[in-house]
Amino acid sequence: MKLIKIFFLFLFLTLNSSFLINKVMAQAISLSISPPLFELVIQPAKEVKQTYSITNNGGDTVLTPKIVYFETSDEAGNINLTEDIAPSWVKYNSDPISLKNGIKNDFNVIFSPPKDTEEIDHFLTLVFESKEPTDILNQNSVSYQSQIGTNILLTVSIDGNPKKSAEIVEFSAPKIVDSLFGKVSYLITLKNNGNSFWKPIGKITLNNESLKIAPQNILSGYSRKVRCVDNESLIECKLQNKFRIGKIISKLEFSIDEDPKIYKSQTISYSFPFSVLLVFIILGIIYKIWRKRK
Amino acid sequence: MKKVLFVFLLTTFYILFATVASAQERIESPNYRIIFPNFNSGAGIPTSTNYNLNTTIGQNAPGLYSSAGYRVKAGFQYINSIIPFSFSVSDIQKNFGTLTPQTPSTTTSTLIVSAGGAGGYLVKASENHPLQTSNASDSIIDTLCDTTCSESTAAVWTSSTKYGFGFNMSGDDVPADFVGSTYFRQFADRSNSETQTTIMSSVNVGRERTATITYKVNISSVQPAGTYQNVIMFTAVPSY
Repeated sequence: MKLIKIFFLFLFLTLNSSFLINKVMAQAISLSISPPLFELVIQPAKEVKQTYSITNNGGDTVLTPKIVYFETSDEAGNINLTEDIAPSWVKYNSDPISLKNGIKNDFNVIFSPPKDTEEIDHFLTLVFESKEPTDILNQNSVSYQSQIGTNILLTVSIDGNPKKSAEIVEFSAPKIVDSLFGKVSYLITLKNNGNSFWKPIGKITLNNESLKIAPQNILSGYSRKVRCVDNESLIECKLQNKFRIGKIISKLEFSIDEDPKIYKSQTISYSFPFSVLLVFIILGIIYKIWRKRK
Repeated sequence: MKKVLFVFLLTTFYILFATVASAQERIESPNYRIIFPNFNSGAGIPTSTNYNLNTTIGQNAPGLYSSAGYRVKAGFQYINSIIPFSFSVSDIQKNFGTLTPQTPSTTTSTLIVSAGGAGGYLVKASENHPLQTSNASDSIIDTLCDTTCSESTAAVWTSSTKYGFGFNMSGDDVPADFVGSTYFRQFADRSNSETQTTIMSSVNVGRERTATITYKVNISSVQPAGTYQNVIMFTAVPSY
């Protein structure tokens, strides 16, 4: 009899921990969206369907989708969402989606610009917004609501080859660098003067050394500070420490997407062992003082 | 002896197989299913002709694909873009409990972001209105800190005679003006047409970037009794 009691107790505890505790964990917001960026160049009168995946790893929630235009907020690739809704030929179901904990939902967006659509870029964000929470405690409190977005870079082009043009706004390095401790780092700002977004494909070279610039999207009409890339990691454009002396000529060369035109710029720095010189000067002053006192 | 052995066995099974409760919601590990694994496989990639597509999902090989006079680019992107963009907040509601005049009340939540895609991300925050009673007859002002602070600039708030509601950020990728735990800002107030402000941002690819948001409320002795509440909106978006 006692054994049966223990067995039921065990069963209760197991079921309790398996089902009820999950419900306690689910009292958070945790959303995941993929792909995080979608880039498309489409011809008018054609249609493309893209499926997004939104996963809820938090508590049961209701998400309302919308697609709005975004504006760039800085030169680092960040955005501000606007209230402007995407054109009507960007089609999706705007009904709220009920998403339980652990459930993934496939969400389709259809891009079908009509024949007479203007050949311009559209910078959009697909946003899922959780519904305003219901207060259950009636206490002094803050409640949370969240929005998660994924960006869409969309070019409408009849021939699939919109005008692309780049301007090197800045390519600079420190003019004077210490040979022992100084680092040669570069600042690159590129501007898109064309009609469609593009990525720079290229590198910075200095004798036998080179740095690959990151092919980050530069939107039409905007400029962006471009970073470098090393083994799938975005890094500062900075050469490794090495003893250099004299004139340093660094060259930037890149093309935009598959366009054959090469854009070039160069910057000149001078490297000298200033730290060694400083040590000698200090030693000289100390020696002079010492001699005077003697 | 048999009973002891039976109980021991049951206990062992329970420990081994029972679900372990976690104190904090965690986002999934990076081992997500790739939605569009390969352009050539056509698994989920749009199949229409007459468009160019750059997918940020990993590809077998870079290059151009020609079709009907149009180009479809399916180049391998420069970063580990199989990381979906994820955002989580550890709670849906935080209580301040009973508010006591001139005794600040604080509570915290954890924000976690994973950003693949084009690299960076930002998280913005705003409030629907200042903390107020349900009939909006009374409210707790947004803090001005000890001297002055705003929705975009943090300042020291330690005085117990400075009243209001504000927040502090600490952890990964938080704004530089949150110098320490005594620095607070007020939330951008959407009811006052203030725009959301950035509370986390990075230009890098990141997994599980974690920050703690600490809310603080301090009321005066003349604050009317009531239940004060508001809703904080977090907006998380990746870079392009």
